[in-house]
Amino acid sequence: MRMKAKTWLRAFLILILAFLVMIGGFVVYLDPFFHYHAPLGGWYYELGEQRSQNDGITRHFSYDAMITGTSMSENFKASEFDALFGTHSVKLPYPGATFKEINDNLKAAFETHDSIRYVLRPLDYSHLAEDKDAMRQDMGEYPTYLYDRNFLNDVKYLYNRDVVFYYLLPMLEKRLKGEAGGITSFDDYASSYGDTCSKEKALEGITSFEVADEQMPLSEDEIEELKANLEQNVISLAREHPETTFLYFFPPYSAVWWGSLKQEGTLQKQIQAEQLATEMMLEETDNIQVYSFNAHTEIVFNLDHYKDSGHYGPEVNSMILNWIAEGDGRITEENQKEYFEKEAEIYLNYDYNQLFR
Amino acid sequence: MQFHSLYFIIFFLPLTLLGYYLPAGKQTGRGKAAADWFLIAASFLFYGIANPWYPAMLAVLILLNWGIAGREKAAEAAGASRRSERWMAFGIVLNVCFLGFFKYTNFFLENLNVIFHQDWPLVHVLLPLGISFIIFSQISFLVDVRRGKIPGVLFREYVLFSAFFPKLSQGPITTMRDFLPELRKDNRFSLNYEEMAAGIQMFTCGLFKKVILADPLGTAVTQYYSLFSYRSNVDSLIVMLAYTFQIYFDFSGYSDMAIGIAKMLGFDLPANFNSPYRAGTVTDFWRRWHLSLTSFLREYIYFPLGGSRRGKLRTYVNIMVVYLVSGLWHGASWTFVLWGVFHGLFQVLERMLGKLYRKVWLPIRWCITFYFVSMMWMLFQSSSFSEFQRFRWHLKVDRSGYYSQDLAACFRISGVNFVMQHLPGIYSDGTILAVSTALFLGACFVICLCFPNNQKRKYKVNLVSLLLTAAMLIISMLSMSGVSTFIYNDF
Repeated sequence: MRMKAKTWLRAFLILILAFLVMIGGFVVYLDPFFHYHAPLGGWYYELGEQRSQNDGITRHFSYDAMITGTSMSENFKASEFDALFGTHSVKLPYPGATFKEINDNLKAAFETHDSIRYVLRPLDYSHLAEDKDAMRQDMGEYPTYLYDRNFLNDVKYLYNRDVVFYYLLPMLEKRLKGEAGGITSFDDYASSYGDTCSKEKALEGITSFEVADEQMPLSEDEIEELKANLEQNVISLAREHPETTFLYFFPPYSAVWWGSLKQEGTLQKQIQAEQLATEMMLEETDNIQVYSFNAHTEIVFNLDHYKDSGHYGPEVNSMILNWIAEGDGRITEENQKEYFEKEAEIYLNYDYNQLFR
Repeated sequence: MQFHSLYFIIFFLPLTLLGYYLPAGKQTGRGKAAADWFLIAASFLFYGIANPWYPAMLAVLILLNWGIAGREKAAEAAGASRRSERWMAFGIVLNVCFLGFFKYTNFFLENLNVIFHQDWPLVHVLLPLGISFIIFSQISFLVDVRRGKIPGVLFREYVLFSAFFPKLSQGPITTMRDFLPELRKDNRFSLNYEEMAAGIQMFTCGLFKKVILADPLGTAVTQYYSLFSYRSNVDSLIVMLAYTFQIYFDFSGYSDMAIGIAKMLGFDLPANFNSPYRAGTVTDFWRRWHLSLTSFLREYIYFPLGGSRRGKLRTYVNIMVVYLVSGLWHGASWTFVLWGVFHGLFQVLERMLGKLYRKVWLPIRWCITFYFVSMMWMLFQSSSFSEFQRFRWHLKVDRSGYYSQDLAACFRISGVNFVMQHLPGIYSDGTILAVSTALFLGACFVICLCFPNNQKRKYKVNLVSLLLTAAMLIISMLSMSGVSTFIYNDF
């Protein structure tokens, strides 16, 4: 059917404007990533995109405790934490995150909440001696449009294929089917409970452990980098918020990981980094409680708890929560020297080829 | 800023059209000038959003070339033709040096290091977006001024020619000779609804090609190289097709968008593609691929060298020179140079065989051409010649016949899964993905070989085109989250 070009243009503009208003309006109203507001009653919100949804949860949810950190925090159950500490917590993991990324999220939490009692956070070894402003650039396009207050770039959220097809439409479908509203539980959010943990998985790709000729200490540059990183991304926030208890722990990676370090000659360096970070946190603040579970050899050397050389299964997360609640594994100014001597003795002297037996 | 971004489609383009047509609508001299200056400002903003230094670089180029063109004209007016020619030569050398500094400094240093066994450090040079396109346009301007083919160009007209944002970053390479009549069209400033509707349709087709076709193909290519060592001959064949289609949909999609936007603003830019994969010879391929570049090289290099008028041997040499320059223009690497040389050699061979080759049955010639062009694209995108050789090894030697699932997943079509679940029999995920791949690549062949070319076809204004264009624009807009950059941006 032929039509006048003017009519064609008018109709085209109306169609596109209708699309922009309708889709954009729906996204703003339902807001599956909580960019504008907290969840609405009667709708079911699926949590699944950590880097896209965490900032909205941080700013718009009601809570008094946070479980944050890298993938080492993904299998924590918020309900377990709440039962042990009497809190109402949210879990906000950022897999593979640098210290800066996690600290930025914590800062957003303190800017929008004034009654945060606890922060639980693993301090990954691999990110200790790292540039203080480092951000992961290798994990795909970062959704910065959800983190800044620039309304122009919100178009990337409003007209986003994944938001529309994987979040908005399922929400509408559930609503039309009369399913109850709510939100994915923070026990399940970002968890990987179904993953297989076994000795074979932990040792995958490794046939033997060599021993490096020399174990290198931290260089001067690495020490400076670590200090700057800790000060900016760990200590300063704790100093600004003395009312909050920061439960920071060094996650118990498996013996396979320690064996790899010994093979590379960086084992001494890692222990030194952990010790230096601990000293700084204990000296500079009173409200950071530091925990390390590397002395729990029944975990670290039992490879059936691991799905690779670093990631442990959810039962270890539960153990960590209970240990922290009991004060087990806590490093203080009094016991730190003894603790790190013991850690060095265990991991520097162990014959890692025994893991294959 | 890129055409395939939501910012461009939702904010930049509508505001630019509004700002351009509002003052121009008054149809007075002042209104027209205001519209042109607005378009110039919008173009600089478009360029500046990519990098704030780019507009400064462009401004320097514009002022330098305008100054040199002025000298050329003044010398010519004073009857000093040789002096005018020297100014033109100086201008060309200056532009080539400009391009050389930004694009080829490190290539030059790398080669010096190899030749003299040195370790001179490479330098960090910002490569301005579309510099190769801009420089070629400037060179054509200086040559055309010298030839007296563009008399009485106003400064405003020249600045708009140089900075016109639809063609700024990836062409089509336009000469002032072609652009001037567009600038001076009587009806340019009045909104032409037919042209606007055609422009919108063309832009949308280009956007769809880029976002819906080129980007998934690009993902497959990236995925292939992420596990290069493990790839089979089937993987390699599929990725060769994927890249062949990706580069076409990517670049021709961009050209469609550029020509479509220009049309919305009342300008007709030259077509850049004419269904190149239908070509039956490599010579024919170059009559259909990146037409504005071929035209530039013919006009400003091949003809001045004597073209085909100085005997066969000289013709072959001229062809080789043109494709050597073309290869080097595409990138600062020996792989690009070799790509150009091989294309030149194949065309020389076709000329040498002459009628004998043209007598070969067209489908066979088409297969030879398509295979050659596709293989050359793999050289084009390889970071080194050894990487290209590794690819050829995977394609020819590793005959495991295995099709990797991670690669196949890049071609996943949701509907295929649904349909196959309702067919008799049980199909594995691998089979479904293989069917998806065949459908995706099959569709690419059909679009390239059977559909009329976007830049050549007539755009109808009817209900079907309305609904189709709106649907394609909406689908493309929704698919832009996390899309890649254009391949031709670096050239």
